[in-house]
Amino acid sequence: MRLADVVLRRGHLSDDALVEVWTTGVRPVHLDRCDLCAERAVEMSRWLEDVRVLGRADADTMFPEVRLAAQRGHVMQRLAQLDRPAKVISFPAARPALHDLQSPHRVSRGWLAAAAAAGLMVGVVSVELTHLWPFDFVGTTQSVTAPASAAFSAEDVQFLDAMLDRPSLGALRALDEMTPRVADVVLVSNR
Amino acid sequence: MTGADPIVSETPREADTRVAVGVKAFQAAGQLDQAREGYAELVERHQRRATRIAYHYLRDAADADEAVQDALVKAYTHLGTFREELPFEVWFTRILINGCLDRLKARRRRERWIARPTIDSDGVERDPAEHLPSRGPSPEEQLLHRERQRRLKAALGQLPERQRLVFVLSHFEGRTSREISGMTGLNESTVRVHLFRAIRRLRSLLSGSAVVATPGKGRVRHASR
Repeated sequence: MRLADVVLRRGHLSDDALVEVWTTGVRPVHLDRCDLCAERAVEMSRWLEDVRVLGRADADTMFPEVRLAAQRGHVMQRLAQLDRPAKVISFPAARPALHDLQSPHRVSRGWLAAAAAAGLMVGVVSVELTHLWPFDFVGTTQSVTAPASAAFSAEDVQFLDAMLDRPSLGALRALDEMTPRVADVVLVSNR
Repeated sequence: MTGADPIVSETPREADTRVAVGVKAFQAAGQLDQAREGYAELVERHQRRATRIAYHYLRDAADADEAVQDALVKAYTHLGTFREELPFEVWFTRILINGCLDRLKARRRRERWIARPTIDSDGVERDPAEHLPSRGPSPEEQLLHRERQRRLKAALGQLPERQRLVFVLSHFEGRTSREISGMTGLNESTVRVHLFRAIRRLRSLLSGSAVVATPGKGRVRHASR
């Protein structure tokens, strides 16, 4: 018997001691000598047993065999999914079609590069030739300026020249110099 | 079969260890179908006990269901770390309790932001399944039984988490203080203290009501000495 029980309870067992009797199954000698404690021990064990039965029944009502079977099924399904190797799904656009790779009409990369280089060369040579070859603007414009004589008077021509001489349009002077003068065109066409 | 067959005389603990070691070996050999088949035996053996623990600890049937499933899956995937000198039951229950603890923490976080579900007068969440009729001898007895269950559930719900866990493991599952210590990581003497406190509290909560009375035996007197 615990010292506290001897001192505080005049030799009678505490509730904790009675719980311990029930949980461990070890019966102290005092229970054989004291009717009061023996009765309390019986009462305590009955109470504990009732609580156990009720608690278990509560859980078992919530989880009948059908629900447990479903739970088992879910667990085994999850385990099967875990054990299965992961599947990698490729994005359809990223995968080239097989017939494209095997087609006899497919243009090789070498030809594409050669064509691009040839195009570049033609462009460079044509630009160089443009600079070297003196264009006769007067001659080339004759055919297209025939109706212009009726459209422009001498005043209009002077007005246009005056507008072009304004300081705000100075940045366009280089372009202006490359462009045939309307006056020249008109004069040529009037000859 | 003869008496010399080791499987006949083995204890549940030995049987668990044998099956768990077998599953581990199958996993290591890549024989996963056999591993799952063996593990199904362990699942069946521990499922009900685990569900009771989770249900009383979490106080929510759906949560308990998920917690048990997660624990069983986790135990399977981590079976490689299982040591044979430790009972499988203790190892698995520890996984389950840790999962339940995580769920309780997550629930507390959620409840800070979301309105609480319907709570009855005893402060316990009502589960719709409680309203389903259960099998019993008579409607009156069913009603009384359900009422007692409800009151016990409410009283259990008022216990602090640790006390409730220790009480459930000790009382409903019949585990010793040492086993509970292994399952929860608590000191053995702390386990006993929690158990005594839980019982004292439950007795005081249930006293004055015909909660824990065995039908036919009348009301149980509660000693408050």
